[in-house]
Amino acid sequence: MNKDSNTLIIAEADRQELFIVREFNAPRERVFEAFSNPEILKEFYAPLGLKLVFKYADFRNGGSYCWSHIDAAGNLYCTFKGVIHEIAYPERIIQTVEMEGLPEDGHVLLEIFIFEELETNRTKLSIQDVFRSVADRDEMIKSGFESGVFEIFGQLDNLLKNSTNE
Amino acid sequence: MEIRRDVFQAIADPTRRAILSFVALHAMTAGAIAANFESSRQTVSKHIQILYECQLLNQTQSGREIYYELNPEKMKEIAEWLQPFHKLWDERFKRLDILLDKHKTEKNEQGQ
Repeated sequence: MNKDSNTLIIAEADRQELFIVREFNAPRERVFEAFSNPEILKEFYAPLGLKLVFKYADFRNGGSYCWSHIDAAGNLYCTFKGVIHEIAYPERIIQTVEMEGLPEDGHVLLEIFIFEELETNRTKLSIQDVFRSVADRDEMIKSGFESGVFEIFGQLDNLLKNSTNE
Repeated sequence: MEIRRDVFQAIADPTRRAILSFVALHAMTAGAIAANFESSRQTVSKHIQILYECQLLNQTQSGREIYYELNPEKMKEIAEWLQPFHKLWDERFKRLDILLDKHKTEKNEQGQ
C-alpha cells in the first residue's frame, strides 16, 4: 500500500459503492469551492499529464456539467457528464457521473461529497460513489479511470512539487 | 445472515487496519496485539480471527505461543487491485493541496 499517501479508499467486496476519504489543511469553504468551481476543478482534477476541458459547467442545483480529458496535442481521451442534484454550500455536493463512449450507455453513478470541518482550517472530505452494480464499480476501479496509463507523467508531478518550493 | 469473510471487508474495519499495521512491524501474539486496544481481548481476538481467515495474517507456533504476522502477498493483492485508482485520487488531491496552499499564502500576503 501507498505509505506516504493520506488518501483512504474503501471498496468492500460485493458492494455497489466505494468511499474516498481525505483531509485537507484548509477551511471547509475553500475545499468545497474547489469541487464546485470549474475554474479550480480544471487545475487539479484531470489525471496527471492531461488537461480538463469543460464543454459546459453549470454548478448549481439542477445544473449539469460535461468535461473531457485531452493531452497536450489536443487528443481527446474520455468525456464525463452528469447532473448536479444538490449544491449545499459548504457541506455537500450530490451529482451523477457517466463516462461517455462506453459500449453501452446508462452506466451512471451517484456521487456524494461530504465536507466536514474538523477544526479551524482542517477539512475532511468523504466521497461516496454509488454504482448501478458491483460489476460497474469493479470495472471502474480496475480501469483506475484512465490513470494507470499515465505513469510516464510521474516526472511532471515532481516538476509541480518543485515549482511550489520556489 | 451469512458473514462474509473477504479481504476487502477485513480491511474496511479501522480496528483490523490497526492490527495489520502492528503486525506489519513484527510478529505478535494475540495477547500482545490486544494490549494495544481498549476493547476486550475477546473482541480483538475476533478481529484477528477474521484477518486470519482472510489470509491477511499468517500463524507461526513458537513453543506454546502462537504468533501472528502479516501476509504481504495477500496485502499486495489488495494494493495492486486498487493501486491505479488510488494513484489517480492521490495525485488529484496533492494538486489540490498545492492550490489550497497557494491560496492561503496569497490571503496571508493580502492581510498583512
